[in-house]
Amino acid sequence: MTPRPLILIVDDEAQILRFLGHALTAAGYDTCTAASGAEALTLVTRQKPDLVILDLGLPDTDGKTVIETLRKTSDLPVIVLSARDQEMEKIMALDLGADDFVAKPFAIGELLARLRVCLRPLRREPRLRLGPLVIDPAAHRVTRDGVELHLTPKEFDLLLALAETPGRVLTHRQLLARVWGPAHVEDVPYLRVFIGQLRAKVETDPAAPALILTEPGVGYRGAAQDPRDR
Amino acid sequence: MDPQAAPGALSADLPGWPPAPRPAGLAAALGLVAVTAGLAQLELWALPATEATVPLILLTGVLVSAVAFGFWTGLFAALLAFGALNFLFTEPLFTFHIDRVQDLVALWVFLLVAGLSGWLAGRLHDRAEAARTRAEALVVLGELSHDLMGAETATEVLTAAERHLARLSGAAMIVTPQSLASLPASALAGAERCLRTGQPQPAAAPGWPGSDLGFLSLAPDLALGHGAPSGREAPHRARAIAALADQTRTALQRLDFAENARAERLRAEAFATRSAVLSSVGHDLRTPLATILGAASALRDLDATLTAAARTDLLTAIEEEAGRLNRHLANLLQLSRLDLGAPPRSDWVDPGDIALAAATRARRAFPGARIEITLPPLPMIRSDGGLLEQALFNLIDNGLAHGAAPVRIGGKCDRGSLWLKVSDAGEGVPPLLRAWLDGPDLHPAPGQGGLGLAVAKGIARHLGGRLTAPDGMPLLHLPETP
Repeated sequence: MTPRPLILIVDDEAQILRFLGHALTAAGYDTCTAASGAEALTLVTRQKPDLVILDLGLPDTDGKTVIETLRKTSDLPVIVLSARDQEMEKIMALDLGADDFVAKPFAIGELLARLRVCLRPLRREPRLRLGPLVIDPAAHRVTRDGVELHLTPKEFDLLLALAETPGRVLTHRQLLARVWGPAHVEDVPYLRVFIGQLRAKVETDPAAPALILTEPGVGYRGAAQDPRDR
Repeated sequence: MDPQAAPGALSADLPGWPPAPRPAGLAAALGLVAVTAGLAQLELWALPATEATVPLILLTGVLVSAVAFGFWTGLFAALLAFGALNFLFTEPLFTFHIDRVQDLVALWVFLLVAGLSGWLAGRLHDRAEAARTRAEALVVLGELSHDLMGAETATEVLTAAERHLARLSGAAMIVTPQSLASLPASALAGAERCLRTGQPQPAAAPGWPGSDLGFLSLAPDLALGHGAPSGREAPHRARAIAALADQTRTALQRLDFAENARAERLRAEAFATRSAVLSSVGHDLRTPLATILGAASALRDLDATLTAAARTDLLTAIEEEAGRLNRHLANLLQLSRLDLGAPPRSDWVDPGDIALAAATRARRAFPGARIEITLPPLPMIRSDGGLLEQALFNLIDNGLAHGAAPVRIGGKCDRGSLWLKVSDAGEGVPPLLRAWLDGPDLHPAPGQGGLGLAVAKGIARHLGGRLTAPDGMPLLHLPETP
């Protein structure tokens, strides 16, 4: 039997820790909890969790500072819990290296889906799949049901970025930096145009995209492979 | 300077002629010439053969008259001295006939010298007079400026303007549509026109029918009435009066701007408070909601794997958080009701009973919480029992959430006042919140989690009392019979 992944839950609200503890245990994870940023960083070193669920509003430090500190030494997956009105905070957390976010209040299914995506190892396969698309990075080829799609190099890079981490959000800045370079991280309207072109080529119904999903105000998400993770 | 502020009198600026002589001056000149003539006679009688000094003695009288009374009087004295020299000291004596040609020349030269001396000395006198008038006006304007700078209300500005204007123009009054009735009938038309049109209304020229008061507009429906400046310095005085009105207008505008800025600041503060409240309310509502939604979805999605104990705990969490949500909503509604300022109900209530009710409610809301009541017998008071219970409940809630158990409700009645204290074993209300409790603001201080304390404070004030925390523990003070 494989060991149960250990999840560190960081939140200063006792009631949130309480229900998340029960829910994650029942979902097959081990949990440990911290009520402050300092305690979280100590537990990360001592208990070596497999993933951190981090509330952005902590009593001692800003959740973003915790992410920054964490990222200096590890790639430990971090899922941020944030309120809907903390849009900026959320984006900054993601740009600082958080892997995904869940907006409070949330149903447990949503959090578990994000957990599964983040715990899944990064795919290093010769061929990637995104829904019905098969992407061959080496040959720069994309096919849907065996039919080759003609993408420009930028469109291909964009699709590749989304397909490498299916189910995970990528912020506008992350996508722009990856495809166009760090000088273009502010060119969000540009990105929108390219996403529109890409959708027109890869989606069955570009008006109701199923492969490239929008996270309003944050970025885009490639469709999850596992239907439960949608 | 506002061109409209310049009164019409300014158009008559510097007519080129010195002011007309006063009768007293002329009489004094007559006297002076008589005295100098007498002195000259005395000298001739005492020291014969000193005729040559007679014109000089007479000239002294001319100079003194001109220096003391101005140009016209000086000229008048010169003519008199000329006559005196001719009549009294030139052969044939006691006639205006002149026999010798050299006497005629001497007399005409005397007249010329006397006239010139009188003219020069008179000009000197008039210039000095003008300089004094202007200096006076400058002093008045300077003092006014100082007073206006310190004025903090429109009344202070107008009082200062009126006082200084009275020094400049002899008469001063503030005119508003309401004060028109108290004006003399002659001034009524000018004042009314000035208020209506905002145009300056000069006083009637001396000797002409009309008002002896001029009016300058300060603001819509506000004018300054002033005495008519007269004399040679009238244009300067009129200019000083206009400058005074101008300064007053600027001071009123400054107050207006300051008032606007204050109102804007208050609006911005109210806005900031409102968003702080909204954000605090958002946080208060979101946390229990997150627990309820999360626990309910966990019960549904993970039903198969949850242990019986976990299931019970999740259900308890849902119940507790629903209760918390309910309390937050009650506080929110209470706060908005207090904001509306409806008058409190006034029934006879027993503070002891109310405290007991609040404690019972708190024990129900927080099972296991230690709440003790140590109240002496207290008199009945007229108050709103429901609100009082809510305030006490919030203070207990606050003590349990941020302090340390047990929470104690104590109280005393002293000199017509009732004191209810909700203390706990913790450190009490932090200093920042204590200052906020003493302040007028009803909405929670930024960073203050929850509305409970704000509602308790609002209720205390609503009931005619106040909420303080002198030693850190909340103290609810109520008048015994509001």
